[in-house]
Amino acid sequence: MIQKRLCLFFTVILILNVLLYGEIKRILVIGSNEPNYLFMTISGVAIDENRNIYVCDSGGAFLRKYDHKGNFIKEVGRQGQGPGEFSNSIGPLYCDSQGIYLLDSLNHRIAVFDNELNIKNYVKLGGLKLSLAKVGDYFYLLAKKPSQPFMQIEIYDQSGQLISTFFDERPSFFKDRYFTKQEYPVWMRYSGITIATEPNIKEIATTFQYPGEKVEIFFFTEKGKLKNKIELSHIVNYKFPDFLLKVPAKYPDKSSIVYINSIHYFGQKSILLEYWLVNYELNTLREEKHYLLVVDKNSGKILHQEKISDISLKIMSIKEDMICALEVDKDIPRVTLYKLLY
Amino acid sequence: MSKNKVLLIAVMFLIIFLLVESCSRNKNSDFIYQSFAHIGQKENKIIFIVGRRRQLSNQCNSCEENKNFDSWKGLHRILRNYENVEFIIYWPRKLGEGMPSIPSDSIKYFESKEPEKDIFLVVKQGKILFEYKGLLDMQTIRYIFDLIKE
Repeated sequence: MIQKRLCLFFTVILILNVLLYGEIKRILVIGSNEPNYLFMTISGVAIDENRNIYVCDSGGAFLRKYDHKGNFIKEVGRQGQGPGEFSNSIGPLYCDSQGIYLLDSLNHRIAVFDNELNIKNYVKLGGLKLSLAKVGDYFYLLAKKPSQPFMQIEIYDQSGQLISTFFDERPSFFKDRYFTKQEYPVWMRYSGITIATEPNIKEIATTFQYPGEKVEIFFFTEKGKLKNKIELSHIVNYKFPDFLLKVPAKYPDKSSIVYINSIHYFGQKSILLEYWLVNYELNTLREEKHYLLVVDKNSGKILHQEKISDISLKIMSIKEDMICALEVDKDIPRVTLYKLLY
Repeated sequence: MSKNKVLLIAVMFLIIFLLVESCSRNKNSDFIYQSFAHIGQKENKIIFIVGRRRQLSNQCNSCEENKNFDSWKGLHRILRNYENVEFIIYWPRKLGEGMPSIPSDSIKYFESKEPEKDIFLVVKQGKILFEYKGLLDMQTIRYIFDLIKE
């Protein structure tokens, strides 16, 4: 009787584990040594409503369109500053029903294309911008706060007019501290943020790329008003290593750094984070661990944790249930589409 | 006119002359690379002459120079199966040992001052068929690919 109950107990545990286990499934790979599938430095990937895939490459100064099966359709661009030309700093890419948007930061503009990669117009910008997102008719760009070693989110209209700025937070390890001129670049580096937008609920999410004791995710309305903030615990026992804020940094024998490469809306109720744990011995990188965390956007509870074995994988965008990533396989840069099932 | 005034006018003319002289000089044309086409084993060569690199305290991801290393790797990948093509890199001795890991059949070092921008040469049957300076974009890579295939 006891044996039967034990058997039943372990069977239930096994079934639960199978049900709770997630799977990241590769759907499509684009990239080879043929000219139409050759990439140098992929800097943006986006998918449109028909599942066509758009890829921009800052090394090759081009934008390409592939169909939903990964067949090459068209390529536009060359290096330069004129019409149809790109600087060597293009990306990211954003796609909605109104067009394809490519940030060309060194040319100080957003290039707007239709689905056939014909240029519709340029949106002129002032200053260097680091990221691009869109909700409705507004662009959301990351830029350095004037005279401060911190980032802010800027809202622009479709003509390139600055509407407002928001996000005045600091990582917790910067609170109650003052920077010196010598420390300025260090503060700039460790106050980086990453953003994501969900146009259906007109919401913007942002988090610090170097979190403190907790990962904080802030949610804003399309006008930049704070809606709420969630905190989630790290997957390891972690505190931001203070020695990194000193100039020069003196690495101890062993240290760990958590880095959030990007965040993305994963449906309207959860957020996907690209979570890196990097281990050092003195100042030598010894090990990198890469995780995808799916987090409930109301509670901050981690719904799913997926360890990624390929450390070259970087998430570029998410469209519904499709994760667009870039990878390097045997020195060949590729765009890979995944589905995360859990 | 006093001696001092004459001296002052002469100095001014000298400064203006030197300014005009330096502005009119095309810095890249000072770099003589035609002789680079005659080295190597194979009839067809693609030559990468590495130009000036900026001293940067932080890694510069948008720097043209670093992007060209990725572009060179891309060019090598699409052409490496063509047996009659040789990939040669010219690395300025002045830059020391910091050459990144990029593919080539041979690496040559040169002592003279490096060009302002990276230079790419396509050599066929001993003649420079194509020369390009700056960021090696995909359009140029396609052109080089077609030239070699012909």
